[in-house]
Amino acid sequence: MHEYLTRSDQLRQVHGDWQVHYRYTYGVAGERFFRELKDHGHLVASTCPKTGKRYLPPSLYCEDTFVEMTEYSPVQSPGTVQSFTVLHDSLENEPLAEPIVVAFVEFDGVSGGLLAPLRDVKPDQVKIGLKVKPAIDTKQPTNSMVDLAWVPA
Amino acid sequence: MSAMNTELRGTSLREADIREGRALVTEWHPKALYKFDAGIAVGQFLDGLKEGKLLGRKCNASGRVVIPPRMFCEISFQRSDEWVQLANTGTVNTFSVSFVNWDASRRETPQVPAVVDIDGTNPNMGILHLLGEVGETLDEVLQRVKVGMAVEAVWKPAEQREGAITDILYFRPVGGG
Repeated sequence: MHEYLTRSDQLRQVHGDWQVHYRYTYGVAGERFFRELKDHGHLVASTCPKTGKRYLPPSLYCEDTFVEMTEYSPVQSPGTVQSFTVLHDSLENEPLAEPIVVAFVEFDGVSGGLLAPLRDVKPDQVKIGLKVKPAIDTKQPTNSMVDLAWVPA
Repeated sequence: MSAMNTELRGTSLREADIREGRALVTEWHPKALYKFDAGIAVGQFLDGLKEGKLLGRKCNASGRVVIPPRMFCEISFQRSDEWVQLANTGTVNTFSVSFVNWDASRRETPQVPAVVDIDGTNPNMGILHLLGEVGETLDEVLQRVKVGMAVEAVWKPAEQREGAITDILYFRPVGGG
């Protein structure tokens, strides 16, 4: 049994043009993450002083204990591909000359993970469980996630 | 980053912090034209709000009642079967105490967004709304608001309702703050 709208006054449609030009600031923990990325070329996690749980990306507060985290330390490579997807179109819906593999990577003993392009691996050779390490652009950093990619470890 | 603002909670940033490179930023100007069609389920839900009713949708195959309503049940993979008028009451599933508005301007008194599980629906089936009459300071709010607390909807007067989620002003503890 299907239901249809039968009167035009039942149509509920909203048009708009979102003026969403934005400047995203990373917050206290995010700022630290990108400074470490740019200045030292490594990925840092934050550690809960109460439980020792490590967070990547680092966050300011531990979601279990609500305690502020001030300790940051580099994660140890390799990381492990937990999920991936292969992109064939750009954000503007244009076909890409070469497909891009994007992989979500976790590190041992660290809660969370990061999503970044995976380079030097053909799309049909990517597997969940693949060991990778970060390749970080510290020469011309944009100070955004674009500076990070994964390569096979 | 600039020094802590001592009057309001949090870490404040000024234009100069960004201009002079003390704070890193990502900038983007997306083109975000949109046309949003509420669809049958949410359309009816919004009509219900105008009448002061919370409408859910029931799937007989899975037995689930969902709100906001969907015409399709993602558990049974079938079209859901009937409309159910739900109570005005629920329990707090989770909440936050916010000192910033949606446009990032600061608040003197906190706003308390919460997911309210509506009574008569399945567990973890709730709507994101605001809590009200729960205090003017962080301490007051944290003392009064608990996960699992029973709350009831406070509606706009009938003549001011327009078929929007804001027809509910907020949820308050059952029996008043």
